[in-house]
Amino acid sequence: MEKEKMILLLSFIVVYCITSVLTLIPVWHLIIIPGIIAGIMNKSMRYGILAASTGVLTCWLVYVLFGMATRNTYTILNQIGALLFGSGSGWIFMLLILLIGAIFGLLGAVIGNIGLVLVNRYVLSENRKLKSLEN
Amino acid sequence: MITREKKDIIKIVSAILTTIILMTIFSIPILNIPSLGGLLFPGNGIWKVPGEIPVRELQSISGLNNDVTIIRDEWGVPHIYGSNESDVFFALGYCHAQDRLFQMDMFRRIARGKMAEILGFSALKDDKLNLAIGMEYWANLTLEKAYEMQDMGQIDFIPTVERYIEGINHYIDTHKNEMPLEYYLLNFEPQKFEPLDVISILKFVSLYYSWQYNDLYRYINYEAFNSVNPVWYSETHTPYLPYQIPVCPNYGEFPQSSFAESLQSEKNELLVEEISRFLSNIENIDFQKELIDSYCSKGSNNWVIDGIKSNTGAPILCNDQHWGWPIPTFLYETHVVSTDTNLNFYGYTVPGLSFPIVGYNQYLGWGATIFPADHLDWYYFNTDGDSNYIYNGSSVPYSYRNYEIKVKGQKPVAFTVKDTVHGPVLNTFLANEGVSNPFEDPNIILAPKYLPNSITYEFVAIYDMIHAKNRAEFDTASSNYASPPINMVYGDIYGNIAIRPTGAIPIRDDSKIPIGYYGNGSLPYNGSNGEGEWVDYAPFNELPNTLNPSQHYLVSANQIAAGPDYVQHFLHNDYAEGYRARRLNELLNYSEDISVSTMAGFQFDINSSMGKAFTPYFINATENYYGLSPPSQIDDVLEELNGWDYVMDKELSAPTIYRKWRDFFKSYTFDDEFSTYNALTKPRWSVLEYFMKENETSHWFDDINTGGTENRDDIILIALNATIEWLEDFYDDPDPHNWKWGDIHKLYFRSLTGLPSLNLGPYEGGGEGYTVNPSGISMNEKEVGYSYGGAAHRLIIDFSNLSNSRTCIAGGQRGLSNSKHYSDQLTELFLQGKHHLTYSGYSVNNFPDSLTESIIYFKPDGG
Repeated sequence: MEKEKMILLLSFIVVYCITSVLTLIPVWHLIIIPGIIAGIMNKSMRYGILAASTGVLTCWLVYVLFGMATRNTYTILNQIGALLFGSGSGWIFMLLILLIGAIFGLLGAVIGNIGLVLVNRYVLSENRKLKSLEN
Repeated sequence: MITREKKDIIKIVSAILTTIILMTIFSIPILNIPSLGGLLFPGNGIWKVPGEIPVRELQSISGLNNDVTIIRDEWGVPHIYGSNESDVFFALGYCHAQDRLFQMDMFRRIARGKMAEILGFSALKDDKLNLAIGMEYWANLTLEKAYEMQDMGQIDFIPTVERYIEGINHYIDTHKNEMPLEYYLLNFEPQKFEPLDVISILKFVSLYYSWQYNDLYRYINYEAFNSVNPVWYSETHTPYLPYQIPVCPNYGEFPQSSFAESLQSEKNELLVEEISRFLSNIENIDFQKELIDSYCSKGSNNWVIDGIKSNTGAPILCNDQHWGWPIPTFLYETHVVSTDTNLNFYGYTVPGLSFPIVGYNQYLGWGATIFPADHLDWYYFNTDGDSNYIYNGSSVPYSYRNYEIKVKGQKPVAFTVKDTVHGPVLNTFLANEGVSNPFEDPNIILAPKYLPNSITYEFVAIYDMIHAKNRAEFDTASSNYASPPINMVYGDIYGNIAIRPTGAIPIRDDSKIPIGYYGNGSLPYNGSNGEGEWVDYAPFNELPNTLNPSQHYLVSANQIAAGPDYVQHFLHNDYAEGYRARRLNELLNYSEDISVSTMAGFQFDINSSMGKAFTPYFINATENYYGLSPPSQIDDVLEELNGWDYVMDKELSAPTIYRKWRDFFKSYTFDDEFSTYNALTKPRWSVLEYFMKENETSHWFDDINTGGTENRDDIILIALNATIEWLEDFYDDPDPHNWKWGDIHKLYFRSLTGLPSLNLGPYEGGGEGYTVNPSGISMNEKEVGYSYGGAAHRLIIDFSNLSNSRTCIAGGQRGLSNSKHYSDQLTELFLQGKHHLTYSGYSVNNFPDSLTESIIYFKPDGG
């Protein structure tokens, strides 16, 4: 149990770090990667989802708050929000960004976790069978 | 076991599908907004838009000769200090890019016909027209000539322009991942700048101020009235508008009436048809429509008083240029100091241009208003097959310019411009651009001869002007200035004041125009007959000018340049009605001991001299008709107007009533004739004022559609009833006391991007299009009127103490909508009637910390 929690914490940190690195790369689609890694690291899918979602969300929240504080980006969010939802709606975009970040973390974790199970089940077991046949 | 496997597969497939769907959704552009993922997610789009400038920054720059320090003051204005002139211009280029990169990019793209590359097919017709007009083409020839002159040692400004461009490109190179929001919205990257961009932007500035179709509109009116009564045309299109107070006061005063005689000439139906079709097509191009609509509202004020009028004992000079109100504003405040050449100027630059258009150095200063000299003539030619046209009686082949226009999302479009001897053929290529009146093989081609479409030397002029030390040097420098023509008002620390309408003014040969036709470039010339050739330009020393006048002040507000005693050269067909000039002359004539603060008040003056001219006649006609017991609503109207001091205050009702009444009065006076005979543009306001004051039974007041004969007062009363009905309906309130001007007259500052959320305003405002502080609105539709243009800056130069000079711009220094300097000057100064000090008296060593917002140090690489 303790080990699982340690891995949960570790995977959260890994997700946070990878997500931070990805903010330096202008290809946002890569945001699925940290979740996949968290899903792989945690045996429990729930823990994987938790680490991935909160890891991406926390990282993006810090990034967003930092951007708003240093670059007044919330003004831009408001200006873009006004085009779609009317004035003063920058907060909608802010919530949307964080929510989508968490969702991509979740999806990544599911893909990573189940993907690992399937790989283990089919690929590794096939390898084992082959090895046993060789032996 | 199989069930669990299936569940896992379903789960992972679902997760992958959901991921794909979400990624697709966030990758697809919605409406005009690019993909939300690329725009909003951390690490992308908006998160890379630069913030405020770092408080302290040190950069090593290769190619720099000496250290440069850029100190930003509390308004974000850069004060650039260096000891090598090319270095400080490098820094200026860097600052322009840092604050206005997208704006500069748009300027050069418009000028060079490259908008479709980023906007797609919708911008193709603008690109074609701009390429055909030839800004880029003539900029290129001007640049080639400049390099040639530099090689011969005749000019020395090129290195500063090149270093300025290097400064821009250094910013682009070092900020590839930090671009203004607009680049992410439009999904393109800025290309490096080159010298041709800068000269093209200069040509664009000329076009913005002087491109027009007035000759063609006038021609429609000329032909409309030609067959009815030619005098009608001369009455409504007099080259000498009534009540003008000339810019240069030393050439006599105009009589009140000066309508020219006119004779009937043969009507050219085919030409009328082709010009009408062409104008209709042009009006379908947004940018051209904007130029047409704003032509008469573009202008400026400048005035100067000498030490006898001022309370300082030295001249005080004011200038506010009316550029329209885009955000960011066209103008950019700059203070540049270079000790090697004793350069020290404070002024307004246009981003993309390295030199200021107005400002001052340590010896002298100047302001500019448009001197609306006519340097654009339209010619029509008969064609002779596809490849030839008739010029001066002979068949002549066109010359051709070929372009390949890049269009976003599709293949490049080949485009060929046909050039005549006078200029490009403009009426034959709009047919395929979605305009309303397709070209149908006309036998007539229309081509403009336009002065900026030549090799001009504005850069030479301005470079020397900012280095001038006295009036003589300034005059020598400004003699190279060509376009757009400007009234150059001047003051210096030695106590001199002066004004000179400056620019290249063509001299035409009108010997071939038919009897009864108007020359001086006021109507299109028959190029096939060789009419209206430009034979020379008016020599600089033959242009009107005034130095140290006995009245101790000088005023220009785009009115006529000189009085009737100036006979050397014909100067202009179109100029302001003169209401701003009237008010400024009144203010300056009757004021003594004028301080800088008083001058600041004058810049915000919203007292309407037009209201003062018209309103008493409205009141008299109404009181004469109704006597002592008018109906209560009309009594309320009279009460408002009788108590009015002609100040267009946003809280008052009188300005609303006067304004709408004035509009209806003009409509009911002229609409009957103009609509019956298919004339287009209405006469100027001072023409109506003239008939109102001097001829109350003028035929113009008679409605030709009624059996009776109406006079001035009849029309005033008809207009009154229409006004009351209109305003009652608009305000949904019958009480004239509640028709507040600020409810219908708003100031609106629109973003260059066209995105409404980046606009500033609307703000309730005082003034009107003809007040010193101008803000014109249309009240044709029954809806709120928005003013989109007026003073773009306000400058006051105090020659007793240049550090006491003041300024403000209609916006802010930075074009970044997330910056506090995006709109700070607009909201804190411009709309509040305030200025800020220029801080031009400080050096790099004593610039106060309390005023310093940030400092950038440029050091030579390895130094």
